[in-house]
Amino acid sequence: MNILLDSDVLIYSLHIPKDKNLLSEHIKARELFDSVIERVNTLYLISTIPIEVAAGLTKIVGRKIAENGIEKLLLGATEIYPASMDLASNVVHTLSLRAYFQTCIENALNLGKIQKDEKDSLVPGFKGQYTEVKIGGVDISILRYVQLKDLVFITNDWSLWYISWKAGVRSYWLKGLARKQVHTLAKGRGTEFP
Amino acid sequence: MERFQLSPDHELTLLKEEMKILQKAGKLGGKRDLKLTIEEYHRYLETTRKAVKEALDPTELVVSTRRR
Repeated sequence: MNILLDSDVLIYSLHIPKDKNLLSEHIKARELFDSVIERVNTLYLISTIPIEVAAGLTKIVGRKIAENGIEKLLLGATEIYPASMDLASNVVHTLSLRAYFQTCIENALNLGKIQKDEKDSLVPGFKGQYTEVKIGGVDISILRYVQLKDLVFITNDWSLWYISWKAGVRSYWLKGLARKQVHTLAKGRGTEFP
Repeated sequence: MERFQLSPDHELTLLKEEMKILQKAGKLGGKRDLKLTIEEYHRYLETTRKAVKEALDPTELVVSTRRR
């Protein structure tokens, strides 16, 4: 599958956490990153994501180790939009950037804030006390890229997952995924979620 | 004021230059010639164990990478 792993998932995949409560997220993220290295899944990113990972990882493991981790990430990714190894993609990206930004703005206006649907109260992570879900600008630019490339999207951010799901994107919330489901994804197959 | 316009030839030159830059930047995405192995990745992960223990508050830091 062609997938985009959000920066929070990648940070979980690039260090072993101290807190046992976070270990489950790390193991799941690690299995997904393993599948990228083995080329079972193909990793697509936009340039903001490695920047966020570098900033986050440096705070956790220090600059030297973080640099090593980022190198692993860059080796694993097939594309970091708008840069790609594929020359034809590079040309298309050059020409499509303006349209991409334009549609990002449209997405921001349409999806920046949505009302929660009460019918979804049984989905994992649903908190009934909040009636609205909001996402920010970087979230919008990632979501737009995922839509354009028709990627499978995995994030640990519930709000971003919920809005992506509502926008019709094949998306998964890492924390809400069972190990068995992650195993299926790591084999390059989709799984029922939520 | 008259609007500055590029000639088609000039636009093409700029596009070619942009492609060259992107090709160089393309090194960022998918260095398929340098293959990452699972063993190498797991070895790297082990180096993070000690570093994480010394971090001030790793729990808080990984909860969200994006402020809104």
